[in-house]
Amino acid sequence: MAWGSRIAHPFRRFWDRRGVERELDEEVQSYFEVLIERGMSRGMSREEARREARVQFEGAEQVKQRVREARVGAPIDTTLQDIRHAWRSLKKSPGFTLFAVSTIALGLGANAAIFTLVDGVLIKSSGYPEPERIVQLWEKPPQSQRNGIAAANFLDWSRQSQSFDAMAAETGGALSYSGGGEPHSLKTGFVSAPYFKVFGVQAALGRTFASGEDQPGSQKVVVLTHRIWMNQFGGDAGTVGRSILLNGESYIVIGVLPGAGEFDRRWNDIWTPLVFPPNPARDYHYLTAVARLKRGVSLQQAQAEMSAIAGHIAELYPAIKKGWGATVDRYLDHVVGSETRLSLKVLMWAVVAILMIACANLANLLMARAALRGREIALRMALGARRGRVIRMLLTESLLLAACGATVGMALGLGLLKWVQSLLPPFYFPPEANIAMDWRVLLFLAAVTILTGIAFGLAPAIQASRRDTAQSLKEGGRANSASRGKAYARHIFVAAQVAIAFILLVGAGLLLRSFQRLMNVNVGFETEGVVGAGLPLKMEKNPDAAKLTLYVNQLLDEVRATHGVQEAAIASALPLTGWGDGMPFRMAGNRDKWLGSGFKIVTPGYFPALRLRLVAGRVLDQRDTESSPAVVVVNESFVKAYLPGQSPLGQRILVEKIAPSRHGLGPATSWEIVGVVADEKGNGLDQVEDIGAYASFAQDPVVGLGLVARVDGDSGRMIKSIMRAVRRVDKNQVLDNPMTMERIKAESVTLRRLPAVLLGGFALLAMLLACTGIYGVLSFVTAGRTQELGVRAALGASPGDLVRLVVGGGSIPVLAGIVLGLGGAVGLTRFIRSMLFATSPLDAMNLLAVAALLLAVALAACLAPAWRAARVDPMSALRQE
Amino acid sequence: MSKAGDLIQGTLDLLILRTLELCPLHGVGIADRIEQVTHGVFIVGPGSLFPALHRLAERGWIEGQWGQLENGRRAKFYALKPSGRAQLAREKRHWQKVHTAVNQVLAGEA
Repeated sequence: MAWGSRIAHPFRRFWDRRGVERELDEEVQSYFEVLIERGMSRGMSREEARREARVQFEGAEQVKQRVREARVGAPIDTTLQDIRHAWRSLKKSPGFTLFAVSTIALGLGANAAIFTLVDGVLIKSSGYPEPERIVQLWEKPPQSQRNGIAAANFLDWSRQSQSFDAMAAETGGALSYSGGGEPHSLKTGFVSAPYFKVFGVQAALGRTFASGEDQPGSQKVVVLTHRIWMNQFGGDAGTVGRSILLNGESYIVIGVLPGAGEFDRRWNDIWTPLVFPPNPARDYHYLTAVARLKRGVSLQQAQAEMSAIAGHIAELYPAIKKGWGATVDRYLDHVVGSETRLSLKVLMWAVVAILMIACANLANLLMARAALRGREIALRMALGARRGRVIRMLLTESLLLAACGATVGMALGLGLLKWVQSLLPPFYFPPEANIAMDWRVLLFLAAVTILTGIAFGLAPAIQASRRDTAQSLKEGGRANSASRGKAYARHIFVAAQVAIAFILLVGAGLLLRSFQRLMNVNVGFETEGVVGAGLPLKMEKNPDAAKLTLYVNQLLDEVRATHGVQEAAIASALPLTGWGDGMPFRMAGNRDKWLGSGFKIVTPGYFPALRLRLVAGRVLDQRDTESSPAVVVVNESFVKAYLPGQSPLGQRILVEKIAPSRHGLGPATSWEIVGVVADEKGNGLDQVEDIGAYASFAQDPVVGLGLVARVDGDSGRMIKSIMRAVRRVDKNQVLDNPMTMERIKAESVTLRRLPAVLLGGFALLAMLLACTGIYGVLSFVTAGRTQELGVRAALGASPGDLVRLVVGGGSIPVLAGIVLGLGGAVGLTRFIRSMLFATSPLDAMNLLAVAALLLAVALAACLAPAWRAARVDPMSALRQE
Repeated sequence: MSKAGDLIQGTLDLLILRTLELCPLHGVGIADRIEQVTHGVFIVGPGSLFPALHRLAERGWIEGQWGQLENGRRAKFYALKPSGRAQLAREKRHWQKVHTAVNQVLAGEA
C-alpha cells in the first residue's frame, strides 16, 4: 500500500488532473478557513480575521501555482498543459489555424520534395566503396578535352599504366533473349572483366567476371541485374549456373548483382564481357572507360602517367593520333550533367524562396494574432502569470502550428516527389542518384519547422508580454491601433513577399516561354505519323556486309508490305536522338584541313519517310549501290558551314567508311555530294547548328541500326503490326523501345520541361502565398481602422472613397515589392541564361506580363478588405469606442 | 525575525519533518508550531509551506490525509512515514555536522 501510494501519487495528476486540482483547491481553501477561525478565536471579528488571513496569504492562485511547479515532473506537466491550451486556442480560431497550417505545409512540402531530389542527386554520397578512387578515362583530341576511346589505345593504357588497381572499358548494346515467351531485347553492357572491381561491387548471388573471361575464345558468360533476375527469371536462385540463349548463342549465368543499388538503376539489364577482336582499331573511338586508382595515387599522378602513355602512342602513330592525349576525371564529378545540376539548384532556390514567403506570412499572422490577443495576455499577467510562462504558452502555440504544418507538409512533399518522379522518363537521373526521403530530409524539415515556429512565435510573444498591463487592459480590444513600427514591419514583409514572388514568376515565365519556343522549333521534318525503334541484330558481333544488306532489305520489304505503312527505312540513328556517328573528314580540294560532321547511314526510304525537304540535287536512291560511285547527301548547315557561297553539288569529301562491325574504320573514300536537304534537328531541338551528311546503307552497311516508318492511323497499333512483320522475317528479331516521334521529341526536352513546369508551379504558389499575405495584412489593418473609417464615413466619405483609401494603402508595399522584384529579377535571371532557349533573360514582354499579373492579383487581394471597409456602418463603428 | 524564504535550502524540510515527528498536524498547525518553537524566528507562510508539503509527500516522506478539526472543519493532516523518519535522522546528522562546522569557523574568527 505504502509503495503503491508512493508511486501512484506523484503521477496521479497525469490521468486524474481534475481530482488532483480539486483536492489542492480544497486544501488551500481549508487552510484559509482555519486561519480565519484561529483569528476569530483570538477575539477578532470575522471580517478582521479574514483581512489578516488575506494579508498572510499571498494569493490562493499563486500558492497553488507554486505547488504545481514544485512537483516532480513539473516541466512535463506544464508542457502538456501548454499543449492542451494551445490546442484549445487554435481550435477556437479555425480560420487562422487552417491558414497558418496550410502556409507552413505548402512551404515545407515543396522544400521536402525538392530537397530530397537535390539530396539524392547532388549531395548524398555514393554507395560505392571509396568512390573518390573511381575515375573516368577519356581520349583527348587535339581540339577538345574528352572523346571516346579506341580499343587498341585502351588495351595499351591498361597494359602500361601503373596508377590503377583495375581498368575497364565499356560499350552498350542489346542482345535479344528468347527464353520465355516473345523474344525481346535486353539492354546489355559489354564490359572488360575488371569492371565490377572498379566500382567495388560484388555479386549478390554467384560471382562477377573473373579475369580472362574477356579474352577471345573463353566461355560466354553473363551477369544479371537484380531487377531483370526478378522480372525475367522469377528471382530463382537456380538461375545462376544455368545457360540462357542470347542472340541465339548460349551464355552461362554466373551471377546476380545486388538489388536496390546503383546497378539496379542503371540502364543495362545484363552484363557480359567485352571481347576485342584480334587486331582492334586505333582510330574508331567507341568505348568509355573507368578505373580505380591505387590507394595513395592522386588524380594528378594518374593524369600525368596517362598523358605520358597517350603521348607515347601519339608518337608511334602520328598519322592518326597526332596531338591526342588522355583525360582523367573523378567519376562522381561527371555523373550529374551541368544542366541537371543547374536546374536542381534553381529549383532549390525557388523552394527556399517559397519558404521565405511562407515564413513572412506566418510572421505576419502570428504578429497580428498576438496584437489581437494583447488584452488576453494582459489579463493573464494581471492574474499572476509570469512573463516567461506567457511567452512559453505562445511559443507552444506556434510550435504546435509548426508541427501540424510539418506533418501535412511531409505528406504534400511525398506526393510532389512521386509526381515529379512520374514526370521523369526512366534513367533521367544517373544511377548514382538515390532518391528517397531519408532521415536527413526529415531532420532538415524538423529543424526548419522548429526554427520557423520559434522565430515567428517568439518575437510577437515577447512583444505582447512586454506591454504595460494596465495600458493594454485600458486599450481593450483596440490593441491593434498598431504602433507605427509594427505597421512598417508588416508592410516590409508584404513588399518582400511580392518581390520574391515577382522574381520567381519572372524565372518561371522565362523557362516556360523558352520551352514553348523550343517545342515550336522546326525539327525539319514532319514528326506526325513517324515511328522509330532500335533494331538489335543477331549478327551484331561479327557481321558480314553482304548478309547484313540482304537481311535488312528483307526486313524493309516485309515492313513496307504491311498494311498502313507508307514508307520504312533503316538509319544508323533515329531522328532527334543524335547523329549516331560524328566523323572527321576533309574536303577533296583541301586535304590539310580536318573538318567534322554528323554522319548518318540510311536507306533511301529515310527521306520520304521523314518528308525531309530537298533543297538541291537529289536524295539517295536505288541507283546508289555497293558498286556505284560513293555519294552523300548533306544538309543546309553543312553547306553553310563548309561551302558558303559555293555550289555543293559535285564537290567531294574524304571520309573513312565505318566497318560493318563498328569496331573500326574502313578505307578512306571520296564521296560525291549529290544533294542538299533541309536540316533535320539531329542533335536535339535546342541545337542551332546541326551539320550532317547522309550516306547510303548500301554503300556502307553497318550494325547498330534503327528502324523508321511513316504510318497511317493509330501509331500504337501500327508499332505492333511492324513488330509482327519483322518477326515474320526472323522469329527472334526484336524492336527495341519503339516510340512515336512525338514521344521521342517530348523525351528529348525533358531536361528543359521539368524545371519549367516545376518552377512555374512554384512561382504560382509563391504568388498565391504572397497574395494571402497581402490579404491578411490588409484585413488586419483595416479591421484596426474600423473606427477611423466609421468617423470618415460619418463625416461624409463615400464607400468609393473608403475603398480607394484602403486599396491605396495596400498597394504601396505591393508597388514597392514589384520595383524591388524587378531589380532582383534583372540581377538574378542571368544565372539561368544557360537554361534558356532563344529567350533573353531580360525579355521585356515577360517582365511586363509578370508585373501586370502580379499587380492585378495583388489588387484583387486588397479588394476584399476594402469592400468590408466600404460597408462600415458609422454608428456601430463609433459605438465600439 | 526571518521569512521562510530566507531559510537555508532544506532547512524548511527539516523543520517540517521534525514538527511532524511528534504527531500528525494540518497546515496551519505546522506553521504555528514552527513559529512557536522558534519563538517567532521563522514564520512560514502558505506560499512556502504548501510547495514544501507537496514535495515531501511526493518523495514519500510524509502522507496527507483528510481529517476533522475539533470544530468539525475538514483539514488535511500530514503524518510522518517510516521513510520520512529515516530521512529526518539523516537530515539531523547532516545539520549537526553543518552546525558544528559553522560554529568552528565562527569560533576561529573570534
